[in-house]
Amino acid sequence: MSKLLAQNPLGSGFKRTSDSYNPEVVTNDSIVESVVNIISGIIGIITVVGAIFFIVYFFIAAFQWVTSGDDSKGVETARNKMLQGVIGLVVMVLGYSFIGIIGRIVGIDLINLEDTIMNVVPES
Amino acid sequence: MNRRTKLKNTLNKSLFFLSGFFSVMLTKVQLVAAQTTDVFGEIAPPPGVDQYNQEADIGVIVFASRIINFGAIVAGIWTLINIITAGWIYLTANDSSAHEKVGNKILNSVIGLAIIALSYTIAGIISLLIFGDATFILNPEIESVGTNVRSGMPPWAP
Repeated sequence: MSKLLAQNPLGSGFKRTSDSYNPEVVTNDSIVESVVNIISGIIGIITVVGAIFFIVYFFIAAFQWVTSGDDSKGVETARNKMLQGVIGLVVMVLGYSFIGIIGRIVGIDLINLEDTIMNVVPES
Repeated sequence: MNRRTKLKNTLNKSLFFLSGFFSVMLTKVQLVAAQTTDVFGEIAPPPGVDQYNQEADIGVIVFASRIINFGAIVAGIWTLINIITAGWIYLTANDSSAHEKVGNKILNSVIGLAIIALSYTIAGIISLLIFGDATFILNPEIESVGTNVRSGMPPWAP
């Protein structure tokens, strides 16, 4: 569907508020592509924030270990904190693969979301 | 001077007056609208408004886009203020519920700002999923009776 922008009585449409994730020209494909980009960006942001939290948590746990002294309970909590931080980071990094495997099992293509979205678009 | 010449005189006078009037009107119209294509010319937009009519737009959507952009800036400043007040709550709180309160405040502000920044794409994907056309909301078309929007020609055009 081709549109002649200058001949539309309402002009070229709304202008985007943010240039980063919104498409410059609105078409069906560019909107779906930018939705997929947004989801990828959110996953990336969560991963980076999680990595930063892991660093902070790890050092807090190390500090706890150092300051616990001969208190064996304090050492144990510090070790648990470290272990849980590591497990969380590993799960976060491997989450992408897990999502792919789960999507393959249930039959929804979660990694190539563009095709999945375009499949449910009604015909105009 | 008989009655006939008197009538002729009056007619000449009024014709002269009318022609002068129309010539003044035409010059004014031509001054206002330089690119006159029709008999009566175009209605020229007043200064300021004509800047919204750059690409044969009627400018409503351009104006709305400016307002939305302004709202996004205001929302960004509001988010900044919200984060600063959240930090202030952290500094001054004595109870242990401050952690939760501050976290909620910052998270809500950031989520709201993200929704505003991504509203364009959200509107596009909603109109794509509901109407089957991503431009339905973002680049709307208003069709009048018999007017072909795509060609832009009125129904009386050949």
